[in-house]
Amino acid sequence: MSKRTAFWIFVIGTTSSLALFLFLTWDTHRQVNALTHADKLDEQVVAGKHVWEKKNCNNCHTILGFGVYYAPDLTNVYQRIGADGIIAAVQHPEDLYADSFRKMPNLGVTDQEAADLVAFLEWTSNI
Amino acid sequence: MAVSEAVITNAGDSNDRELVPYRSQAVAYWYFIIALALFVLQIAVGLWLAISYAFTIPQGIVDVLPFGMTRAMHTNLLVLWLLLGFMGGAYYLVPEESEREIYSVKLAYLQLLILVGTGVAALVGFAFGWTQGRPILEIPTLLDFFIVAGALIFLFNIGMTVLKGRKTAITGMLLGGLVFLALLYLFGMPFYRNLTIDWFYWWWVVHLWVEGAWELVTAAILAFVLYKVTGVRRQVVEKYLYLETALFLFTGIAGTGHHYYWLGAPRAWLWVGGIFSAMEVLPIIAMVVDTFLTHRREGTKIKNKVVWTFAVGTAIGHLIGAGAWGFVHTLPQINYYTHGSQVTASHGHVAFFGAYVLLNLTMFWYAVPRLRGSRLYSGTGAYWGFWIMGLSVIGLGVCFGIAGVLQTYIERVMGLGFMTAQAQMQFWFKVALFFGASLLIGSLVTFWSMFLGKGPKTKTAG
Ligand code: HEM
Ligand SMILES: [Fe+2]
Repeated sequence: MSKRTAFWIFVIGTTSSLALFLFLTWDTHRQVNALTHADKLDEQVVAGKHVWEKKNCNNCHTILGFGVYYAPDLTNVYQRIGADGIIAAVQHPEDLYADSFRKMPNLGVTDQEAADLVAFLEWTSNI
Repeated sequence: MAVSEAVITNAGDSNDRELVPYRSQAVAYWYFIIALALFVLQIAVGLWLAISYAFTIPQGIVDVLPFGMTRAMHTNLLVLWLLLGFMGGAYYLVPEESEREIYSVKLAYLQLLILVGTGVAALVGFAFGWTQGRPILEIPTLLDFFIVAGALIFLFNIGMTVLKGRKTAITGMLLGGLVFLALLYLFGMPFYRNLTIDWFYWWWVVHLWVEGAWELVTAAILAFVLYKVTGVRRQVVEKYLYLETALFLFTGIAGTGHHYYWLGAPRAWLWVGGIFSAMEVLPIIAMVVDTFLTHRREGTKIKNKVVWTFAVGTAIGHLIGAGAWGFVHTLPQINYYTHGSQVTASHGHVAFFGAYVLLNLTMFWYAVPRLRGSRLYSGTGAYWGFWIMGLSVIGLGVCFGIAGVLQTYIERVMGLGFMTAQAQMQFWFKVALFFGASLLIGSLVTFWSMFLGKGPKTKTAG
């Protein structure tokens, strides 16, 4: 095989894979709203996502299985422990995990931020 | 074609006559030394992470030094130093390939200053809670713009050098990979309202980097080094370069789907992701075969044993960490159990080290001794560093791997809680701490023997 043939294999292989990939990306955008109940994705959920990022939650926890494996996955935490459980965990981790061998930091989450996080995690539990 | 194939040069080092043919190649030195220093720092931070897994850290410490903050430092240091290493590699090899000096040495230094300055600002920022909070892409948007500026200067500088000089498949592929790499970074910058879309594009950066753009850069750098140290003909090296990267992109682009199984994305990804990503091992096998066999078939001899050791290490490390360990958990049927567990962490460590750390060190060990004034064909420090680090990372991979299997079994098969599993896994994090410490030693040995030790003894061969 010559270098030229190899070059054309490169071009064709790449574009075909890319075409399939972009098609599926388009398809994902088409379906994502239905798949993630985006109608329930209101401003408070978005505010909660901002808090989630600001407090760097994802660098200990996973969500949807992504992120870091130091602490439990939170995708369905709303179903597990409910709004009160979430608020207690983010505002007073030192009490909740007093007996745990792994601690969660107190990140100074305000009441408003805690409520936003609850909205966000309630939404993720329905994906 | 036929003419150049006929010009056979297989006399050992004939592709490698002059020590450092172009003066501007020297900028690479600063990229390399900073990159390797950041590697040492990355491992030191990693040790703290292992301690946090293995022991109970009191609340008082956790509050001021949260795990998440240090983990962000660990991963960002990794990405920063690997990219600086690639850039240094580009500045070293492009003049030789293009047969001219770098377009602007000043811009090369300016760019280094911007990127290192931004990196330091980001790390300090993390310590004060300034973060975008998305793992690996934590750098706040403001600093992202500095990164983009640095990257643009880099691409401009390398691009001008390539365009004004002799054009080879190696520089073409390198430039293509670097442009692709930079473009992908842009998809990681915006704020996405929908978490599913957020992760969707997060993987455009992370997956399409390590299983796409970085593979092109790696293949190009490895092709350059193999061309130099094995004395194989350019035609052969470049033909394999095209074939390997063809396979990398064909499987890797659509293979992104292996991260979209449980994301809330359409089901078609299960098929496409599973099938294409399962084939991702093929280009890696091709790379191993190419590395091992080509020079034998061409009947050339290798004198630069240090670089050869690292090049072979890269090929095999790539195959184990990315090829084999990636393949094991890439099919949806298995990933359903292992997703987001320590299995992932095990794969991440072995793959990054095997493929990209060793690739960078291959290039460093080729270039740095030359930049310090001699060829280095064998070196005790280099070998010690290679084996200590290599065995340490294998040890880490095994620890995380066992922990991951335990975790998968306890959480996903028996259905018990996260902390129940962690309690059973803790022992393995203590063992991991040991390997982390030896990895740190290995990296220090490498740093020392590469940059600080007595200048390498010259064993020139003509
Ligand atoms: C050198 C190349 C590679 C590197 C550096 C690498 C690195 C990584 C890293 C760091 C992650 C974890 C990301 C996170 O969730 O934070 C990951 C995940 C993953 N990688 Fe790779 N990888 C490479 C190649 C491959 C290949 C070739 C395959 C398969 C054929 C593969 C399969 C996977 C899978 C399935 C996951 C997701 C695991 C999960 O569901 O939790 N990787 N990789
Ligand atoms: Fe991937």
